[in-house]
Amino acid sequence: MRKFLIIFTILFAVATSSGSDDLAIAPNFAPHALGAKQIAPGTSHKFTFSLTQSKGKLSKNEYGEVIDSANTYDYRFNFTPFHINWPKLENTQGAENWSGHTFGGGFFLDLHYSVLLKMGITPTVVQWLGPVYLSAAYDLTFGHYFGTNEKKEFETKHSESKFTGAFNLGGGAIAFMNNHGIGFGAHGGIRQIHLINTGISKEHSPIAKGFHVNDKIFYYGLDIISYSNLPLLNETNSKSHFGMVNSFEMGVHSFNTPIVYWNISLSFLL
Amino acid sequence: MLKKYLFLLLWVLFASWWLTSCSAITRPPAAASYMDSYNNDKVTMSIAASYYAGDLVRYNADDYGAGATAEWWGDVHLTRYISGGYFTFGWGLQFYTPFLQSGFVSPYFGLTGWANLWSLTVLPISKFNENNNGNEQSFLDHYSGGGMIIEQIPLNDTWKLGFTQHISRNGRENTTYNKFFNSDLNIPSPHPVFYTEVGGGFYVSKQIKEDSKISFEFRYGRNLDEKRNRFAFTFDFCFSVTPIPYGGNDIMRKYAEKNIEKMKRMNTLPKDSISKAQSNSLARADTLHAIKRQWFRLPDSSQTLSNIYTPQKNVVAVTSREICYSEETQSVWLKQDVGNLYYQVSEDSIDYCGPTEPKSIAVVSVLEGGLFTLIGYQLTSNPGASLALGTAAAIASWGLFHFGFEPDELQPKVYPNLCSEKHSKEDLIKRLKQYPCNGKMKELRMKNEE
Repeated sequence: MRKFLIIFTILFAVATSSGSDDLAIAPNFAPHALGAKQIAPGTSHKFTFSLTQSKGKLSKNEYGEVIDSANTYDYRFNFTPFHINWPKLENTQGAENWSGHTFGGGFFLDLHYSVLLKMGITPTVVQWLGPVYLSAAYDLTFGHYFGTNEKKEFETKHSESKFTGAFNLGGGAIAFMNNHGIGFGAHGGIRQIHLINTGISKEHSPIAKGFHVNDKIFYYGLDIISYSNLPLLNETNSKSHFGMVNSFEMGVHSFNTPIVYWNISLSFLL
Repeated sequence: MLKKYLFLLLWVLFASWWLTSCSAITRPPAAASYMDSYNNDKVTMSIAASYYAGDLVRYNADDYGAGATAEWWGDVHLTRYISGGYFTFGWGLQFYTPFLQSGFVSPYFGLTGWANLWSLTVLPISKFNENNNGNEQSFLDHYSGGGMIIEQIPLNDTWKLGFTQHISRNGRENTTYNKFFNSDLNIPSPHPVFYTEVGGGFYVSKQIKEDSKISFEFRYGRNLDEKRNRFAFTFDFCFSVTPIPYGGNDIMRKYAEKNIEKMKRMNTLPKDSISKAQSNSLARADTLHAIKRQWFRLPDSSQTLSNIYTPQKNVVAVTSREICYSEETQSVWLKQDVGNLYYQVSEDSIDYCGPTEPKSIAVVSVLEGGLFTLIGYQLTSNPGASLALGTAAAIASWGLFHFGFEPDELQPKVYPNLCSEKHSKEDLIKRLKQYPCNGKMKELRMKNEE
């Protein structure tokens, strides 16, 4: 486990060191849905590494061509210190044909931290209704944002703190293959995105003036899931079952939308 | 061994081909192997070759030798299907288009959909950068995929007959040949053209071995956009291969396998899980003595269900946090280091080594500190601030391991001379006698003695 943590910290660090951090967005709820389904019985700890890139069109010329656009990133570590699941699961050892709660649900309180100076809290609710689930999350982020110069490099002299809220509403479905312990999911919804940059001057391009784009975007995502629930904990000398969610999410692009984004995330449930 | 490496190499090549391919054209996939994936615990691998006939697009070059186009007359599809009963998921390559496929599958009826991977993921984002304002394209312009209904009739144990109906947005690769300057050399340049197709067909499949099958499929498709008729003749060979251990339960079974074999020869009792159903036959197994996590040496790896450490060749060391000794049966009970199972070891096989020490967490702290210092410097260009960030990260990671885990829970430090000292039998017995067993554990004889 520690090896995994170190590898992901390195990847996280490498990714972070090559990009900016000027985006606020609510987390993906697919890992929460897996937790609420309790398909991997007894898992209670959840942590996620995610990378989001969002681009926004800032201004157009008289012919309608985009003359300036913003390119923003968020590298985030997210974990869940508190959660409640319903109904309560008695058998946390797992079972041969366990396929999760049909009407399982959960409330999750996530904390997240982004390099360098952004942190926040996200309450999320998930409710399964048979094969599909609905979810709502509201992300509260306090961030310290920097300005960028004409070369799009960080200018640490120009910075300001901002408090933002971003919702994420949607639902999805997951097909579980219990014989393999693999799940395939699709989810989608609407979410709010903040693209924030502190201006360094009032002249030149809109980038240099700074921006705060706050918009909503429809999106969809695909999830590839691995989980265990066979009653073989003793045989494998393991403490508990596990789940893993790889998600790829992207904004549904229409030409009326001034922003677009994509997000990859890797979540572990232990 | 060589075969294994060759297979691995092939797999890596296939995976990299899949990831780096970037075409977007698809056609309906072979139906027989999709249907064959039903309830297969292994992976169904399909290799299908198709020949296309009918009104294929062909234009001759104009007078200047430019613009000759020809639609491809054949292709090869490689697909892997995994099944969870009535649900099947597939991924593969249609020549060099990565695609995904999934749907409902049963012995007699199937419903499937497919799409090219890039239309689902990359293309819509990459289009954002293009300022094709007057000529804006919709999302569907980059989409290639479709849906198919399949009915299957088993004729006997080996032969099956199937019928298919599909509607799809196909793509075809048009190759334009342009003259290389004024020479006779024609440079082929393929580009995709998409069209909507409806059609149907049939297939016959034959089982040739227990887990392999061949099929021949014919499909007619009407191009609705250009009013063309196309015919596809597909030869498909499918067989079962072991799944890449990605699924949690697949991984679990793989790890459990060797311990299940060992458990047939050993006495084991689950801790705290002597459930109501089992309580008649087994006594409660709560009679061990808790000790500080300790090293024990065993003659070989077949006598333990814990993680095995080998500080030196021929030294098998395990750890346990609980122990008891039964004089009556001349055996010792130990607990798994991570799981919750007790297992019995003969007193002749065991030797004690000493308490475990947790692996140093300084390395992690230094590594984290260094990384965060670099990140800080990259972002702020301020040495003081980045050093402060690095120090904070180092302290935080040290704190996480130091306060977040009990010392016993961390990986034990393995040093080369671990368990190299041998104790006399008297010393061992004297030591073990401090932890007498009670109840069932006291009485249970070693399996090989029974």
